[in-house]
Amino acid sequence: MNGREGTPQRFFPATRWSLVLRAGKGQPEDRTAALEQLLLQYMPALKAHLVQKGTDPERAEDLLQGFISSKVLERQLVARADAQRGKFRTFLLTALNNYVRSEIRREKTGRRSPARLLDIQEHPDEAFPADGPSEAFDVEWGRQILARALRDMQAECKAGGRDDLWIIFESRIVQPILDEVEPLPYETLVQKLGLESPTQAGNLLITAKRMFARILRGIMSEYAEEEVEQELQELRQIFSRAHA
Amino acid sequence: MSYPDRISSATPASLAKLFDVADPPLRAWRPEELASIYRHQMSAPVRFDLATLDAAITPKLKALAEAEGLVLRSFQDLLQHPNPPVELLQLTKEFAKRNRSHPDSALPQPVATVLYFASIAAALVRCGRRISNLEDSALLEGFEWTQTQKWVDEPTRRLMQEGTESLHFEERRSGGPTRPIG
Repeated sequence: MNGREGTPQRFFPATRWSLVLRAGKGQPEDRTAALEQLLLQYMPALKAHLVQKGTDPERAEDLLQGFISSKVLERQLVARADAQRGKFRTFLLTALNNYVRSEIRREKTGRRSPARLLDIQEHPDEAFPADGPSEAFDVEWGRQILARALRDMQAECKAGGRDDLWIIFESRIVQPILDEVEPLPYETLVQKLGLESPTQAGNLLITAKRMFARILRGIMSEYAEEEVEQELQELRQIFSRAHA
Repeated sequence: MSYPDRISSATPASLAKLFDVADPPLRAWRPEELASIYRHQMSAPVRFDLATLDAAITPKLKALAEAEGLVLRSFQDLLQHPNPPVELLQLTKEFAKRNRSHPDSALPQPVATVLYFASIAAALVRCGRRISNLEDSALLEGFEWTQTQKWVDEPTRRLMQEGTESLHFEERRSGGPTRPIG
């Protein structure tokens, strides 16, 4: 609960953690596809996290490949995720941090042996900061979610013959935000789409916003079983205060 | 440029506005505004408001609201009725839940939240039925939170108090916290 005067957020549970569940405990074929989708979605955020912690991008890539191969695939990390015990992204981030720390330890130990003496300067002072919130991870994760929501919405509008909704949403919301341009005036949209009035255009924009909200929540519910609303608010706050 | 590329080059602060579209920032309502909206919602016709969930259920709503001589015109009637139809309470809970998370909801989030818990408490107290999947601790927290809101009326506070007692009673009877049954 967010304090006495706030509104309790966590009383409105969504009901699925489907992608994570499928990737961890689904039927073999479905599990592979779900795992692939999950990794595709999280990789940029995990890499951003490592780079923000001071790892150079190339090494971050190597560490991630190692993490995926030895933890996610061989040891079936995702199957151990438990929705009751917290957010999946926290679970994943903690597992990655542990893996990286153990890799650094292992490499340092290895470098002490005569056989590795020549590598001693490769990562001389590398250390990995303690666990904690990772702004880079959260921001990159949020970017992935938003990109997917926009793609899915555009596809859904097209498939449903509702290009009008997409055009209005894109020209009033998306372009002003992403391209820093002025929203297209309603009068222009009325002409462009053959509408009756600016009011009708305004109503279509409300419908489009609802559609975007539904799609975004749907995507988030694949990764956060009980905390969709809270996740949404957290991401909004993180983005509001994050540095460019 | 594709969306991922455009999103990658946009600043986090500007992207926050896209999250705002899905989850508009909460307006800071004054207690007297919330009290007024809550009173208005309590006197709103159950049949019309609940029909916004799905137009197809309109005939069913009419039948439920008029069943066995009940005259359930408003949410207040429903929540304070000694033997309300549990289906209507379930629909009320769903209505509150949807309004609470809907970007264009006319109901402020705190009002929708109180309505949500009031429907659950009424089902517990008046029908002996549990219509929520939430654990006891979450329900108790919600009932308690509602009672701390100064703008909530006395009958609703009493209902929440009875809901709290009902949960404690069940807990004592079963020897531990009760779990949701469906």
